[in-house]
This record gives sequence, C-alpha cells and structure tokens, in this order.
Amino acid sequence: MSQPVGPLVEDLFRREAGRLTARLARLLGPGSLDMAEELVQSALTKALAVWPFRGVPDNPAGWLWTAARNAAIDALRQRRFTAPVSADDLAEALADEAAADPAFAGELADDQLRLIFACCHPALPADARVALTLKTVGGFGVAEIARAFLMPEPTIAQRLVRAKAKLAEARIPFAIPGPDELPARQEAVLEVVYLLFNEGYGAARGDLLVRHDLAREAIRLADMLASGPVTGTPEARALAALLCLQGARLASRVDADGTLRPLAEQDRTAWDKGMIGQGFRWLQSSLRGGHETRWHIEAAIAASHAAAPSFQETDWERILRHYDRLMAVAPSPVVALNRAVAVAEVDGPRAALDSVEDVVLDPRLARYPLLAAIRAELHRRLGDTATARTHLAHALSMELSGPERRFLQRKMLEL
Amino acid sequence: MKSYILLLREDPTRWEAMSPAEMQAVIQEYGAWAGKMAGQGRLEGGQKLTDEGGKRVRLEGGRLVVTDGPYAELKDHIGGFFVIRAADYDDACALLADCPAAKYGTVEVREVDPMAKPD
Repeated sequence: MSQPVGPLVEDLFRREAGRLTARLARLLGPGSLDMAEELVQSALTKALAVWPFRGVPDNPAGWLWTAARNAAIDALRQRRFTAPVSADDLAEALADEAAADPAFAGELADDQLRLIFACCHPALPADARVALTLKTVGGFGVAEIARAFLMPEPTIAQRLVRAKAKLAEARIPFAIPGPDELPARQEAVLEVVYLLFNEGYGAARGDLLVRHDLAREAIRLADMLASGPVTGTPEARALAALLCLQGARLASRVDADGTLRPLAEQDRTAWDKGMIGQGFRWLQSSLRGGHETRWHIEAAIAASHAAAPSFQETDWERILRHYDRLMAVAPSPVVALNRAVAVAEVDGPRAALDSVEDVVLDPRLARYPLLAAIRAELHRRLGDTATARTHLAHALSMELSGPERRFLQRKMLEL
Repeated sequence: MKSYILLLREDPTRWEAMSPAEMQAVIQEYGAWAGKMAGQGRLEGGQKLTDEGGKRVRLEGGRLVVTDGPYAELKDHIGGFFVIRAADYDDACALLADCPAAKYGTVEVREVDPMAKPD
C-alpha cells in the first residue's frame, strides 16, 4: 500500500471536473452534456473508491483523465451513446500525458470557451445560464450553487435539467460563434461572468467560502475569455481588468472576526499586488481599438481605487466623472447609489443625499440594505444621529450576510 | 499490540450526489486518517475490493456451486478493508473517531486471533 501523500492541490477535483466536462462535451457533440457529466462523475467516484486505499497517485489530474477516458470508452463500447468520434480519437483526446503540453492547454481553454458559449446561449433563460455555467464549466455541485444564490436545491436542479434538455433539443453546438454573431453572444457571456463575480464578491448572502470560490472562478473565466484569440475583445479585456482590480481586495474585505471591512478601513498593503498589476495590464490592452463600454468605465473606477495610496488620497473627482459617464452608458439605481458615495467625497453629504432623491423611491431598491446603510452614513456625517439610526435599523431589518450584519451593528453602536 | 481488520461498509451510490469539491474533501479526510495511522506505526495494510459483490462457493454433492452475490443491501456493501494495530477493541474503535469510513458508512471491527499457543 502506497503512503498517502500530502494534501491535494486546492480545487483539483472541481477544476478537473470542469476541464473534463468541457473536453467530453466537445468530443461527444450537441446534446451530450448529461453523458459528459456522468462520465466525469464516474471518474471522480472511482478516485474516491481507490485513493483511500492506495494513496493519492503521483499525478492525480492525469489519473482522473485516464479514469474518464476508460469510462468513456466503456460507455462507447456498450453503445450508451453514439459519438461523432472513434474510440481511438476519444482515447487520444483524453490522454493524460497531454495535460502538461502547452498546446494541449490551449485546446483545453478553447473547449471551455465553447462550453461557456453553449451555457450562455440566448435560447436558455437568463437565470439558467449562470447555474449551468457554474455546474459544467466551474465544476460546482447543485448544493453549492443553491447555497451561493440562497435558492432551494430542487429549484437549481430543475433549472439545470431544463437547460440541458433545451441545449439537447435545440442541438446547440459547443462552439465559439463566428464573427457576425460573436458581439451579441459575447455580451451574454460577459454578463454571466460579471454576475458570477458579484455573487461571490458582494457580501449580500450565502456562504463565505463558496462565495470566494465563485469570485475566483469568475476571474479565471474572464481571464480565459480575454486571452482567447477570438474572444479577447476590448470588452472582454475590460471585464477581466475590472474583476482583477476588484478581486485583489477580496481577502481584505472581511475582518478576522468576520466583520465586513469597508474600503475606507481596508489594509491596502494586503491587496493582491499581482492581481492589481494584471488588472492594469488588461485595462491598458482593453483601450486599443474598441469603444468605451460599461466594463471599461467600471474598470477605470476600480483602477482609481487601486491606484490610491489611501482612502483620503483617492482621486474622487476623477471617480465621480467616471460615474457620470457610467450613468450615461448604463444607468441603474445601483450605479446612482455608488455614485452618491463619490459625490459625498467631492461635494459633501448634503449633495450626495440630494443626488439619490429619486433613487430612494425606486421600488427595486426597497429591500436593498446598501441604500439604507449609505443614507445612514450620510445623515451621520450631517450630524443627524436620529435619522441615521432609523436608516441603520431599517438596513438591519433586511436579509444580510453575517459580515454585513456585524458591520452594521458596529456602526449602530458607534452612533 | 494486536491486529484488527476494519471492514468498510458503505453505499457506493452515496458519492453520486456529491460535488467534486465534496469528493475531494472526503479523499483528504481519508489521507489525513491513513497518514496519522501510518505515522503511529499502526497501519498494516488495506485494500479496495471490486464493486461487483463477489462469489459464493459451496460444495453440493461433490459439485462446486458458484453463485454471484452476497447480494447484500447496498448499504452493507463492503468496499474495502484496512488492517491496523491496536491494544484492544476499545483502542481500535477509538481510532475510528476521525476515520471518514465511520462518518460515511459503517465499519465492522474484527480482532485477528493470533493463535499463538493452544489454550
């Protein structure tokens, strides 16, 4: 019996599940997603049955690929599916040796992009796209997706079943769209990646660890899209810039005791400098050729924060100009609310409150705790403690994550 | 120290509903437990058994009768075994406190009779 070796690479199973699913889906063709997922699951189950006794193999990822290849060839022999490829081609495309080959890595990234485009196809309902991308490309489980979105597991499971049935029925190919179709299709993909990131980044709800996994997965997907020869459009690069620049702050957003730490109180030396550098590189290359999109403006805002040595030294006037342009390109009550934070720094809390006069009436924000929290802060700065307290109490009456609740409770105590 | 065989009974369909991350976590629990046992010099060995359930063999009227099975209920399926060293049953059972096999299934503990000398 071999000695059990040290811990596995973090996320190894999840990552390999996503990679294998993408490769198998492309090999087996339209309508094969269920089969691909089943083969991947059988490879992982095999590892779970064998590794406890023989220890973790020297090349765990290669072992999983071999197990998936054997499962696929068995299933093909048993005629459990008909593949547009021969058993030999199947075996070669799932060869474990290839995992270390850079050309193979490029092909694999293409497979994952093909799968993302299928999962974000306009034929699928918008709410199913995120779940399906997470499940197939991301290797997340139904329970994890349900936890991240605070939805019942059966709802997510049903969404996935329907989405896969739709993909099969409409014979939607696993392919990166051609140049005519790409811009519109790509926009839907970027939306999903952005939503995924916000779900992970926003402290709104769900389990903290799963949320960080979501954010990291979104950064990985954005990076892959931005790096792709066809998919690396200025928009995709701008999104990658935005996610890197915001993602760099991920670890600084919650205290050791689990309290949300706002931007003003974050330890900027703890921000991930490598990721900030990557964000600036993406931002620079996103400016070539393309027009300015909401992703460019949001990335520029994140870059202004990343470049500021301290909260006090932040270039708020510049950030406010970015928000003005963002309101012109992609107006929304949430953007108006975030803009108010910049207004408060430039023109003071009174002007900030005036700027959100219309926003406070927007029914979409009726149960949005950040609105109440920002109003509380602005009234506090104006010296109106009683009103601040009312707004804080209102925010605390809403659904909040643990870190968010602890932060607002602390604010309440300080008033 | 005596030897104990740990028969691991677990429902193999249990893993089917697990996410990749959960499955990796289970592997890591096994690795931690087996590593601890090996570190204490208590791990003598272990093997996985194949999944098909094996054969039953009996001699009937001079003929070998081989049947498939044991056809136990799925939850009683023996997936594999470990052999460990422990002072007594209490000690052996206590070693299972952080063994994932006890968490995800049932472990049958049997002492190996050393048969050193006739009673």
